Amino acid sequence: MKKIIALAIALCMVLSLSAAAAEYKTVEAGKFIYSTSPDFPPFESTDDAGTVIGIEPDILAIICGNLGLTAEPYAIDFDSALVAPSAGKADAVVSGVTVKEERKVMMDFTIPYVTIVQGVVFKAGADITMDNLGDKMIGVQSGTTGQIDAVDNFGEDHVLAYDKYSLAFQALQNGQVDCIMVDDMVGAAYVKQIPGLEMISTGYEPEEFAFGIAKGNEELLNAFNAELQKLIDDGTIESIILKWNE
Amino acid sequence: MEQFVAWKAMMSAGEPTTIWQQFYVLFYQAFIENDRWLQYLNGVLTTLYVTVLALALGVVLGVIVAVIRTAHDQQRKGHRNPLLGFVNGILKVYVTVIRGTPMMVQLMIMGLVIFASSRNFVMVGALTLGINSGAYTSEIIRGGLMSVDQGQMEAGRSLGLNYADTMRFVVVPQAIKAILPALGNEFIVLLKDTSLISVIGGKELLYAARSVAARNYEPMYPYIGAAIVYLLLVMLFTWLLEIFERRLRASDRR
Repeated sequence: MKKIIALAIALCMVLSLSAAAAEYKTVEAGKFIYSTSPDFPPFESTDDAGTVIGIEPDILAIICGNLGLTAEPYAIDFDSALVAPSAGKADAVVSGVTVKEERKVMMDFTIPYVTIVQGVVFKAGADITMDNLGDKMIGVQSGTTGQIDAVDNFGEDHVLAYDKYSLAFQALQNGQVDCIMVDDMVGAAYVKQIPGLEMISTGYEPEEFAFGIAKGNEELLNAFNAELQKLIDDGTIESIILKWNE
Repeated sequence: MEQFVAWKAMMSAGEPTTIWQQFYVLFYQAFIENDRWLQYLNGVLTTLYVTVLALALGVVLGVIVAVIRTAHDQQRKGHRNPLLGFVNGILKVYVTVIRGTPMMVQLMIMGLVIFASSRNFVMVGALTLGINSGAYTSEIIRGGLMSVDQGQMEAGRSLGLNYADTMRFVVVPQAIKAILPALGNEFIVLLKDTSLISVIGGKELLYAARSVAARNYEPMYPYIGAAIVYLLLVMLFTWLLEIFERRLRASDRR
């Protein structure tokens, strides 16, 4: 008898757990799959074990924990990561995505949680200012706002788009490009990792980062907004960002 | 143009649009807006340029490697030339290494390590593809040369032709006919492999399609457009090869 009761209780608990998780409709029940390009420190990168780590995975871990979901990264090149939610392959794109009017056709943005500016990274001592960028070769990652800004300001012929920022920075060290246009916080992380680089700010419009939830998933979007707001208000996000920028 | 702006605004506002309107907007922004077709055109030209260069290099390398290796393999017993054996060893290493490593890895090594200071990504790509193709082509050609019966060579030599002439007038023409389908295969693979050079910064057709897709956040039209162009190029290639094959078969009695 005891065993049966214990079994019944256990069953109830399991069912109630799965019921809580099934509240949100996601690509795979109980999981929050996010597309990401993990070469974007400090927002996301991979550790030696291949796990995706950084500011955004940390934030997601807290939010998904509260919502009863398991966060699962879907690592892919950035331009493909952007369209993964609308292709039904992910529940959201979480990869340092700038809120942009044109992108709203493809995804619903949560409230923004951090602000950055485009920066320009180059080899220390190189003659690079915002005024002579038009004569240089600028490396970017395909699909980023860095690519859009660089192409719009300096033309297709002065821009080389790589699959990953890590590749672009390799090309910069080789001297195959003169500089890299990248979000300043990410640029700073690379400058810290690779000796002999420096960064200047472009002085362009500041950009806001948010999560891009798959279009039409109102419940998930609202839940994320509420959770994000809580984390912003109690300073958790600020401390996570500080921790990763140390 | 006005239609495009109006319909695009309707689509982003979430208003109901007909399938034709959606097709028009997506097609327009993928190929026509801001003269984007020019990007594709430049991409196709680069693709063809790289293919032609790599093809030429691959065939030259392939023929040299195949002839040397066949000459080595077809020596009489007990009359081995040590120099030929040495060169044959080196060529064997070349074929093994190139066939044993992925194209993408070779491109990364050539683009980011060996030619680390070069900015001519298209040439680096063509060189890598050519060296890669050379290894495969050499094996195809070697197969062709080996398939021609030893008696053909002996007959030629006994009629007073020297080794080079026998090769040129007797063995090679027969070999070419035999390997043409396999060679055509290799050329087609080469044409499509040019799409890989975008990883080291070569601005070919796929690079153009990716740029446009990243601009519009709409991958379907640019990628399908690129796929159709590749398909047309391959079909054109196949057609030319068929003509060539038919010509060579004109005197066949089978």
